[in-house]
Amino acid sequence: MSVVCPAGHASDERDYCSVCGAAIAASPARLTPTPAHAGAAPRCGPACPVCGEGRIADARFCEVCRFDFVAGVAGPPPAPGPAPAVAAPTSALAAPAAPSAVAVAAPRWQLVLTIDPSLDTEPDPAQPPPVEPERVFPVEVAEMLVGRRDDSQNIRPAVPLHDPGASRRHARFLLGEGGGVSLHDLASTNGTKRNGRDVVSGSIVALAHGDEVTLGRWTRIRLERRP
Amino acid sequence: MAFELEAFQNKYLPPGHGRVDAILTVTADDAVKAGAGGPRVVGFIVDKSGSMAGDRIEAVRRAVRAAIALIPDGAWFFVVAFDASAQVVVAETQATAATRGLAIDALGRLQAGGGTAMSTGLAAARAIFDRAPSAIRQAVFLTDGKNESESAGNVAAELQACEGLFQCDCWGVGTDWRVGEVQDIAAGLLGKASLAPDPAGIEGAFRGAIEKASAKSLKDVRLRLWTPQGAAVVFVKQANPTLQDLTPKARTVTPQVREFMTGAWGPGESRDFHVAIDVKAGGVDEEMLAVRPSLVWLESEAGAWVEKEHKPPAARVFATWTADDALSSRIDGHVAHYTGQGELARAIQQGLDQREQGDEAGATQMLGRAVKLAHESGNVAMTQRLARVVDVVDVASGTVRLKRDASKAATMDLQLESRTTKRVKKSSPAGGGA
Repeated sequence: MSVVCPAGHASDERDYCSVCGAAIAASPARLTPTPAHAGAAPRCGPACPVCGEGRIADARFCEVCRFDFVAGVAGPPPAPGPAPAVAAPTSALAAPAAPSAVAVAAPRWQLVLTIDPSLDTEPDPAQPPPVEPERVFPVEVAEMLVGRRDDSQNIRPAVPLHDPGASRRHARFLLGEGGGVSLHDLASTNGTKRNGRDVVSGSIVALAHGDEVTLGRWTRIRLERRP
Repeated sequence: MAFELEAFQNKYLPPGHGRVDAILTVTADDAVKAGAGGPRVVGFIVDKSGSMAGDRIEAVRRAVRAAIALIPDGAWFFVVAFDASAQVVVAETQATAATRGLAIDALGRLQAGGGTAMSTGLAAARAIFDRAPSAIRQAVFLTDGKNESESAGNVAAELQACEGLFQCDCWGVGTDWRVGEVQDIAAGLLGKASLAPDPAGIEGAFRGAIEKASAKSLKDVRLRLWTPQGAAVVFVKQANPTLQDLTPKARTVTPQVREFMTGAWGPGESRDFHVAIDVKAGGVDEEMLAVRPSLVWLESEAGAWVEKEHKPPAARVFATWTADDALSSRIDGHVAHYTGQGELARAIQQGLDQREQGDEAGATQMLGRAVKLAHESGNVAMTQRLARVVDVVDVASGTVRLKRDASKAATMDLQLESRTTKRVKKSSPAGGGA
């Protein structure tokens, strides 16, 4: 009386496989990843004429400098320094403006995001830190934007923050071709700290296992080697 | 069907993420007749050490007498008293007018004296419960002092032997006993530890316990969880009415199926469980069944216990991977509520520990946080308990001052009840099904 699941297991249950949990009666379309949403959004569009950043899919604005691809006009200057000053270049750094997302077969790093109310130096009763469990983001693509999501500006960070003290485009994590991870502060309004020390605004710093990045009012992000 | 089972979760996960959290609500329906079912045995395990002399032993006599009067005809009961060793005051007896009278006579001869070795009382009760494997087995435990006549290891070992044999609610009389010791006994035996601040409170406590015990009609109720191959159970906790970590009590049925003993249930009883599972992360738009929960229990049919299982398709827990953060970053209202209640319990524990160690600043901050969390989650009972230990300056921001004159009883009560949770509101806006 058993049925066979899409992975080929003999299942005792008719709805979902009693071995692997896969849907048995599901339509094939449901099980096929939609290319437009697979992993990070592909950078298929032309490079931004202002900063050289690859355009994400059909995004209207450049992810870094907010150049308006549709209207063809530059966005407001996001920060005092237009070009990021690269501090302490290391071999772990990759060219951040890689034309296409570099997918790494076996991701070796992950970001662990926690809400740490003790970071909040000026607690505001009207705006308490959210109660949320630890979130883990594998570092699988060349870059991951960190910031507050804003649909009206089409900013949808890979690492969305629930933190009013963070900028919409606060920082990026970069996965280098050599396999190292670095942090790029996008000249954020309130700055970014690595292991408790301020990162120079707009700079890129290499990170090591266990490094902790803190930003906004209560966001703590730890870089870990995946087990 | 004797049980209803519902699941609450946000099934959407970001790519690469495999942690699935869900709240399972289990309710025994009213159709189950209270007190129906096979034989039942109720045991009284009472402290008769020297400190119980006078008012307290007299109150225990009265309380046990009143409780015995409530035991339905035909049910079995026994009384064990312990000091540094245990003595059987009333051996297991089927309740009739005559046997109740004999038991009350025997209680009248009970004299207080000696030390305190709690494991001996548990061991004597276990020997009696052992002889009635097919009964619903429940006990009440009462002490007034510290477990001074033996090592803590004795109790831990005895609890291990008792586990699964019987359930036990515990009371401490006065304020000279250690909360941790009594709480360990209750937690090990699927029960609750409470404070009876004065001897007069014992009678009410025992009456309540017997009424509750007499209503139980479903035996050995177990939450059974199927998980997919390669998945790991992170934890399984009872979330309501009290927080209890059931993870260490897991019993493996098959490599993919584990079950968690929850004891005996009565009609209308409802509990919530928080289940966290790690599954292998799937690709975007893939869907996977993460948990298939069911309930297994023994129900009395024609004088025999029959095992039943209820596996409702609506209570399945899923994992669906999506690139849409708006879907995956949302936290289910039920999960968020009980995560918050867990944090509240930890804040109280830590705050009381810090106060005990003389860290007033730390204690003020932690207990303030507890006041804020209790207020935000609508846990009025906990807010009131906290207000007996701290002066609340501003509830919304959690600004408090430690009370200089907080009574020891109020502190012990807060510590004991810190694991009692507020039920999630049914109309919670973020709460939704799978």
